[in-house]
Amino acid sequence: MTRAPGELIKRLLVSDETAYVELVNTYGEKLLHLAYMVVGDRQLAEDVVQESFLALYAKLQNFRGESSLSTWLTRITLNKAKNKIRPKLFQKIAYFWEINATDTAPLPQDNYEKQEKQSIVREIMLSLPIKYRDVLYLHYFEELKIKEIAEILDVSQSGVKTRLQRGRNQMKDLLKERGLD
Amino acid sequence: MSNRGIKDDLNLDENIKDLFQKNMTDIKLDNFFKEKLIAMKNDVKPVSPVRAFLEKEICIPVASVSAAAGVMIIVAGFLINSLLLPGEIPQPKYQIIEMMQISEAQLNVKD
Repeated sequence: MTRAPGELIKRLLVSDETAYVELVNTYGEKLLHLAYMVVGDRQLAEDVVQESFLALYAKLQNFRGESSLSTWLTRITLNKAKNKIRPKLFQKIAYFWEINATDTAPLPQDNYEKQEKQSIVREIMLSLPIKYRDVLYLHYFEELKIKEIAEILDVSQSGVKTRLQRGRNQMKDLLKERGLD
Repeated sequence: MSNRGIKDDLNLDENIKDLFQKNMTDIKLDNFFKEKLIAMKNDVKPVSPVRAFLEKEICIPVASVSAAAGVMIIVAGFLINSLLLPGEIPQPKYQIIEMMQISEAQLNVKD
């Protein structure tokens, strides 16, 4: 049974156990996809989702409901994911000393093609600038309206439209480059 | 826009959708992670009213407030130290010499 999001908040506020299960079932995978789309790594994406849920639990009492729970969670996850990939001083030093340990064992043939396809898809995704990637993701994968995307990203609706158009054009070029158009 | 242009646009939309779908194929929320997310609610300490007020109404992250307070305490400590606990004031040399002369004179008188 699907209930109104406002009601879910009320149940969360009174520590209803089923409300927490419903919250994770409704938003968990969605947020994991979003975080993965930004950071491009499963483990990092899980860290981002955990941090987002922790932030929600900590600030639940002060949640005013000015934006919907979905919008609020999406915005928080997106910001945390972007922070994760922002280069930091210590990370730069770590990269400098990093030893590239790659697995040189041959892959089984049946997995090889799948892995190859996956890596091409991921490469295309990650080569798109983040400001276009998040707009395209929210529009095409989450199927959100321009107004909702604008609210999540805190930009004007015309700004979203511009990014969407530029992102589409860049994606078109990337697909053409790889013969996937 | 020509029919071909519209068709190309629709194809591009489909391609982009398809690309996102493929990228997320293996990304599923497993039960272990779900339970972990639910259990995390017990780890959260309630936010104090002061902290909530600072963060929500004035938009000051509390971590930065405590850091600023720490710096201010150190600076105030230095200031108070220099104001209230002055070091030993050096005695003027002539005064010591004068005292020595007086004591020598007193010894001479005794002799």
